[in-house]
Amino acid sequence: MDVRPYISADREAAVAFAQRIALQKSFVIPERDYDDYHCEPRLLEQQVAIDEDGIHGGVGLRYDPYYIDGEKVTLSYYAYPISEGVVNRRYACVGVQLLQAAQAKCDYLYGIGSGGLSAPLMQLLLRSGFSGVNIPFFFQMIRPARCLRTLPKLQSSPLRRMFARGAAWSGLPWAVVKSAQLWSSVHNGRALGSISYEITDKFGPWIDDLFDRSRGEYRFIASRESDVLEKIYPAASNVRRGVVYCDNQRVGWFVAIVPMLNKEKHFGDLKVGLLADVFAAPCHAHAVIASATAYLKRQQVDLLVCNASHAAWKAALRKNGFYPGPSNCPLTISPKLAERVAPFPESLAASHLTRTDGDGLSAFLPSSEAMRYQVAA
Amino acid sequence: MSYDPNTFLAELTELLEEEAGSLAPETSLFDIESWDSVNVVSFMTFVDRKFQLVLSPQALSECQTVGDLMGLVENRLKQAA
Repeated sequence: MDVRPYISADREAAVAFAQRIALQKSFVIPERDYDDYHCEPRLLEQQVAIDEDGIHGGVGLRYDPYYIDGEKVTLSYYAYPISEGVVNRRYACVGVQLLQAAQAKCDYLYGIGSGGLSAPLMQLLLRSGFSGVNIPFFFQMIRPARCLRTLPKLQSSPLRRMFARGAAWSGLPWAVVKSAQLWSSVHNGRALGSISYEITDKFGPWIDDLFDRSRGEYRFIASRESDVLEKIYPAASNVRRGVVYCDNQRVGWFVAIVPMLNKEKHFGDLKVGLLADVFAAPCHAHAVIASATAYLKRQQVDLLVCNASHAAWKAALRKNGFYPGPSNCPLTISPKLAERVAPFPESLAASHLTRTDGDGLSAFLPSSEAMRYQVAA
Repeated sequence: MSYDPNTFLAELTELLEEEAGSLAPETSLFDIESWDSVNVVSFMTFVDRKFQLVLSPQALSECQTVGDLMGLVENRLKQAA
């Protein structure tokens, strides 16, 4: 079995492979003209595992610009690996061959996914010597009674359902949440002073200055330069970009997804607002989170969710009424990358990672728009 | 670390979380439900730790039965001796 970049002459074999695994997984036949996918800023190299019988697996390697301790470094995102092993155990080794080939090619490999560290891909990476940690998750119930009645996790057993519905009926969660929000707004009212925000169609070049000035305050951070952001955050129907001001100066920005597409139904039928990405110097984290929260609350959502790793952003989320919850957003990094950002995972609290690192928005866009966005398309 | 086929078989069975005594040298790997990419890595790690042998996935992919796996490890140990 050889692992090498896909070429257009492989198309017939790729179609056959996609058909063989179709009952378990989908394999999108690569196109050569990635530049047509304007939403994808970073080069994706589709690797295939191939022998004389055809293609038996594939993975995308996307080269992402990051900054580690102030130095620009290219990381490779291990994107959408798939092996014929899912339908035929004869090919159980293909997943490992793809990973070893990727490691031989790229020292700094990383994966971010969903399903937590116990998901099969994360287990494969961890058992191959990668280091992993879940990126912290935060939530805020805007309509607590509806959340308690609807969240699938709270309905998963008769006892849980009874307590959740009883609590919803009592009005107590509403009182607790509203009290916390009131306290937060009074407290923040004093602290926020002249903070304001506006929703914009496009981030301008000013964000490059902001990023240049502030990136050094984070140990490990993906490039949030304008050319990258314009492509990562496409003009999709549910993507909103906010600019945050302090004393009439731009200090940060946020990207919110509202409503968040909830394909896996973790949140049932709730209307969820996702605070997908944020950026500012750590000292302005509170201003950005306060602004984003205020905007999202006006969108009539039931629940707000956000993933953030840096201590200042986590503190800002707590201060603005968010609570930590169980995260299913794992980050795994190759041994050499772990050395570079050592001590890992402790260094995560000094690094800025959010839910859209890795596969960006592809999981949260309406399906018609996500098709354009799919990196493996 | 010395190689004992019975111990190896028992440890492989435990690693794959199969029922004790359910694996034999003639068992096809392709019939073992837990023989997937995650457990391929676990097996490679186990062999590395126990025998200081680095197996390649290419070599493993040529194994069709549990006995082939045992033979692969045994041969590599002989070569290393």
